[in-house]
Amino acid sequence: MIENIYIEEEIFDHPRTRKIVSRYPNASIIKCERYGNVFNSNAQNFRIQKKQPSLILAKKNSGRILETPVGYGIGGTNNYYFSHMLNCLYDCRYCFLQGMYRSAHYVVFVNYEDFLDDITQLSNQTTEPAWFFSGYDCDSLGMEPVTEFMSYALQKFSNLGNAHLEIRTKSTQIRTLLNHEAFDNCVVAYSFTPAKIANALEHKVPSFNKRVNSAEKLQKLGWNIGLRLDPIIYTDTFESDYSGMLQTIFAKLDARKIHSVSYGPFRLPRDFFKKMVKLYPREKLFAGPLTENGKLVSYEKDLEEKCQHFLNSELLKYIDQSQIFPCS
Amino acid sequence: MINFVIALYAEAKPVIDYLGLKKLQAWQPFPIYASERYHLIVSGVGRCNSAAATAWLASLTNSDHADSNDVWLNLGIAGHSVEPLGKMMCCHKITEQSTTKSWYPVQIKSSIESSDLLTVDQVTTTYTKHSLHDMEASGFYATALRFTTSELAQCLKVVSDNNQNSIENINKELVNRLINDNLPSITTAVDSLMELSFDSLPPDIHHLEQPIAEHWRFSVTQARQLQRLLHRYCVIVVDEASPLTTQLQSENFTQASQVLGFIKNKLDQHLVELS
Repeated sequence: MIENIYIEEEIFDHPRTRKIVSRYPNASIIKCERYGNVFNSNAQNFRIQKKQPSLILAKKNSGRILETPVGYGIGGTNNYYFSHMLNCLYDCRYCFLQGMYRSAHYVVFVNYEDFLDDITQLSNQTTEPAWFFSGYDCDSLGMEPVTEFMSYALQKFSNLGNAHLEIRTKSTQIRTLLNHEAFDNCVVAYSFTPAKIANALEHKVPSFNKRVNSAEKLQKLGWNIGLRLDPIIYTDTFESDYSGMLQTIFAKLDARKIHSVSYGPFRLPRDFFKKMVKLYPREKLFAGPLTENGKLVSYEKDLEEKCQHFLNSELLKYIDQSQIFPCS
Repeated sequence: MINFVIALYAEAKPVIDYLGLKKLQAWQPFPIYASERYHLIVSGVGRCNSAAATAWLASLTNSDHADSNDVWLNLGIAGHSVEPLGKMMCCHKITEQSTTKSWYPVQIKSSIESSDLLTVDQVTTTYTKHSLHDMEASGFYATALRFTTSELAQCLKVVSDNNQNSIENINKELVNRLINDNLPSITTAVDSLMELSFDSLPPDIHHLEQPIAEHWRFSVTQARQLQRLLHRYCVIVVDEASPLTTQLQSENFTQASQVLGFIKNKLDQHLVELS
């Protein structure tokens, strides 16, 4: 439950602000000049805040749509990502957000119109498909009942010819999608790790089975479904865990209709990793067989390649190589 | 460790008595009272005094921002336009009137109602709507953040004056009573902050590090590597028939690098389980 809501003065009376605030009648309302005064300022502890994050309502003035890092994509050449929200309802121990931000508060940018204006403008600059990835700094659907961002974005995207939307999520909050007609240039991309790993590392996340069921429901309604197996987490039972996971997924989902599968090894920028170890000094994941590769911390190269090779060959039992996109 | 920074002795006395704190006998620029778990410093009135006392107490107790999980509390009386006398509140926004700068103490699982607070330099009887008014919080808070995190530094204020009860009625007895009546809530708040602070302590590697460091000669870099490896060891190796130090000694290693290699191999070959 949200106990404190910080609101930027500029959007204090924004209709969307009022609507969101009305969902939390008992919360303390705290005015702030800019969200940066509260979010991510010095001397904050992500782990402690994660026990009870506050909500920050703000306006995103610039940098709304950004080019994706190299190696991120599912076959397109024009790739962008955006975040209508910073931070996530869930608490996955491997998540880079823990190392990137000092603050675990949820920031929601209420100027959705500006995001969609930017997307329209960028997609109009090219005749090629332009991919827009949602869910980089947050879960795309986790707080949808509160934000209603996707409800707004879907209406816009369904009328944009060459703009493709990826909704990356671990959420089962799919009512917005169930209420909207499926359209071709949208992929609902579900993130998975094997149930055993999910239970150990993905806290507050809907269970593996619930996610598969949601993906199945959406696929049956005609939505493109993507699978995101990133990060790949190594354990001593890696092979049986991952092959079992794929078996369960493809027993429910129609493999021929799977839009894309991407996977990537567990890797983190070195500075993020150090901060995460400090936050969770007793976490076994961080005490595993990891090494520094340049500015990244990841598994030893041999182990990383072994895991990716195994996963790729397992995937080929169900889908075609052209549907598979390794991420680095 | 819990550190109280309190402006007046009249505000501090009920806490000193309740927690059984003893005055430090060595000379100090501010009176300091302590027990094994608590420190309390009486700063005097005003944000500069509060900042100075906070810094002094931190230096005395060796608080280190990098790893500190200490709780810092500024406790005292405050004015408010409408809130009733004796009501205790915590502060979710502290604004320094003279500079208009604001801080936002992060509230986690607090059972105490929170409020804006304005830190003023002169006593005032004109209350800004919906704000507590004090003379120390901004100085305390800006300084405390150098030694702990925003979640563990908090200001607790008991309403001592309002539009119906003039500031001129405040005396030692009233202050004493106002704080005394809130001691149960104060200790509850302290306990819940302590629960937050205990969460992220790293495993204790000292019992392994000391005998190894005494037996072999490590360079500064090697000593850091050893600490990292022992940290990993304590996280993932739960039960071993033979203690690590015994295993190392039985190998007859002569070089620190051999010791590091042995521990690293051991860890890399250890089963990777996450739960």
